[in-house]
Amino acid sequence: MLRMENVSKIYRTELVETHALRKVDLHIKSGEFVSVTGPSGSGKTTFLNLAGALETFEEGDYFLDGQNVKGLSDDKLSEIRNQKIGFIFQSFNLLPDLPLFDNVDVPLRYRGMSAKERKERIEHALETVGLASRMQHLPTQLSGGQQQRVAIARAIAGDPLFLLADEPTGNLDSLMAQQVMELLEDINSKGTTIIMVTHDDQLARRAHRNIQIFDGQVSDIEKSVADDVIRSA
Amino acid sequence: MDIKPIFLGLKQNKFMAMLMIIQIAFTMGVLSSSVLVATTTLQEWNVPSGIPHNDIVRISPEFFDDNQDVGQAMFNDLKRVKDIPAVINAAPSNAVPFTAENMIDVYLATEEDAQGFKTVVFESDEQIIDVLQLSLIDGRLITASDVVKGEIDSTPQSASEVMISQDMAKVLFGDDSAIGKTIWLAKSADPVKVIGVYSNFMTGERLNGRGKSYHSIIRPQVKWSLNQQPHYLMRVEPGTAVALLEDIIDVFYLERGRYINSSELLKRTQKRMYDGRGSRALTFLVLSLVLLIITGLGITGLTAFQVTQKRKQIGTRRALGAKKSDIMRYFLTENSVLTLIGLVIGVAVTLSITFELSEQAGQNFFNLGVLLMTALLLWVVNILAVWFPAKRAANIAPAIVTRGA
Ligand SMILES: Nc1ncnc2c1ncn2[C@@H]1O[C@H](COP(=O)(O)OP(=O)(O)OP(=O)(O)O)[C@@H](O)[C@H]1O
Ligand SMILES: [Mg+2]
Repeated sequence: MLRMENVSKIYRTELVETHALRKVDLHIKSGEFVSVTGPSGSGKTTFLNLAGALETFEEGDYFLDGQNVKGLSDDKLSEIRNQKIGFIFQSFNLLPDLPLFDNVDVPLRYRGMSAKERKERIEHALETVGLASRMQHLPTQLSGGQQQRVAIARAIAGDPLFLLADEPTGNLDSLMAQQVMELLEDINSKGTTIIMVTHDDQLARRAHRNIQIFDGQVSDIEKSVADDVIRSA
Repeated sequence: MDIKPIFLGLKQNKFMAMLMIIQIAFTMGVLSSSVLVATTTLQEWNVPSGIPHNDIVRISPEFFDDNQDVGQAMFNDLKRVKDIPAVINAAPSNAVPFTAENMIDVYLATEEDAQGFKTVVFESDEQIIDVLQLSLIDGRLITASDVVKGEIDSTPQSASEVMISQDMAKVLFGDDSAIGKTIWLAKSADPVKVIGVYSNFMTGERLNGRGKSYHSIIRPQVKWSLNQQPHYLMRVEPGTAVALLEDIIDVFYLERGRYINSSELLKRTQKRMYDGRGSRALTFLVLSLVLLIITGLGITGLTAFQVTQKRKQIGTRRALGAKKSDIMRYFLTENSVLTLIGLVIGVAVTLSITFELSEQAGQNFFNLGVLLMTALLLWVVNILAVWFPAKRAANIAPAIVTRGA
């Protein structure tokens, strides 16, 4: 479903070239819950940006749902993000001016769905995250954990191919982090693929599969071995 | 269509929205008011004069010697000046086109409450029609035998028949023929009969700008006294007026005991009248243009500020699937909503300003076409003003959502 072949990403500034990702080969299957870990600056966010078509790359191929993403136009990439990917960010990134309902509505509008279908999906998504009763509230009226749940509702409302989460619990205290993690597991158990970058080893261990990135290089560890690696790290 | 999120956004940014609306409303109010006043003014002073003013010369002599016979002098003047080969015709007149000031009210009845119509009376002889090259629209022309001539004190009678201009006839009698109708040149006195209607010509600034530029009456009488002498209007061969002016003045100096108080080509008179208004109107327009530019820059600044403040939000929208064009559209639509509200308020302001001005000046400044054009112009300026910051917004990379949070 998601396959990277020989993907490299180099950031060039006037002074330095940073090899943020080096020849990444990776295959993630439908329904997996994958955690991505690694030291700071190792390339986790870069990986996620490429996987999420937020950034372009020059080397290698990236097949998403059978389609090679490399070299697609900006508009086409927007479409892919909109239709195939659900994003969850560390800092939630809700639109502060819009009530929850309309926040969840944002990607659905760009998809050009009918008002009726959007309404159904929004209500269902907010129910899933347990915030259906607060649809007309503004994001600032919610706690951090609640805001992240709205972001999750926004990510799943469009039934994406997979969810990409960059440190989804990074800004939350442990109790709220726990709740958000449970919600993600719940969503995954219903069939949605999840790729989650995290610093938290405990959370990483709860995934089926752990991908570690060191200095731009990926080592892929299946669930069974992942635990040991993380424990010994 | 995608208007709801825009309204929700504006609801949370009321101050900014109000600021934009006020700015647009104010600009629209000032801009359209001054454009309306300017165009009205320019239009009114740019109307055809109705006479070949490039080829007409006016001379105004004045006696200082009490012992002179004004009547004889006039007879001599007219004869001498017509002897100049390039002078085609000449006529004495108590008023001069473009600067006629002796405005009166003319009445259709003598009742106490009869309505007066503003007009200017040109007292002259039968040659005035030819000098001004007026054409006969209805009835007949005045003839030499219609003209009452004489020294004021010894000539109590007045001409009882007059010609009126086409516009005057229309105002007084509508579609009916004016011929044979009686009008009063003063309330309850001085009734005269209309015998002819002539083509319109510009009378003077006293009547101009109120739709009355062409309201005039020609009365075939020439009366004089030592301290009330007619002007002379002379039509010359086309193109010779400038060269001829000195010769004409010389001829008038042949008469003793007087000097030439003023001499002018009517082409200059016309320009003099027009220029003042033209440059005032132009000043208005230039100031409006400056205001428009300032407003445009203000909108650009406000929008650019918004874009900077909302980088993260814009990036989020991009990450969630917005195309660059969607971001552009968002800002352009948002601006259009504010522009529309601002324009509506601005038009209301303009209407009240022009209404007030029109009341004061007794002149209609309103013009729907000009108002719509101004609104359109402001709209275009707004779109341009928003375009560049919106373009910048559209170029915000979606990757900023995961970087530098
Ligand atoms: N836009 C950029 N321009 C230049 N270098 C960049 C850019 N973005 C990231 N890098 C570099 O690429 C490398 C990988 O960065 P990345 O953000 O992917 O790390 P990370 O694993 O997410 O780190 P963290 O755990 O601190 O979030 C780093 O060396 C970083 O400095
Ligand atoms: Mg990172």
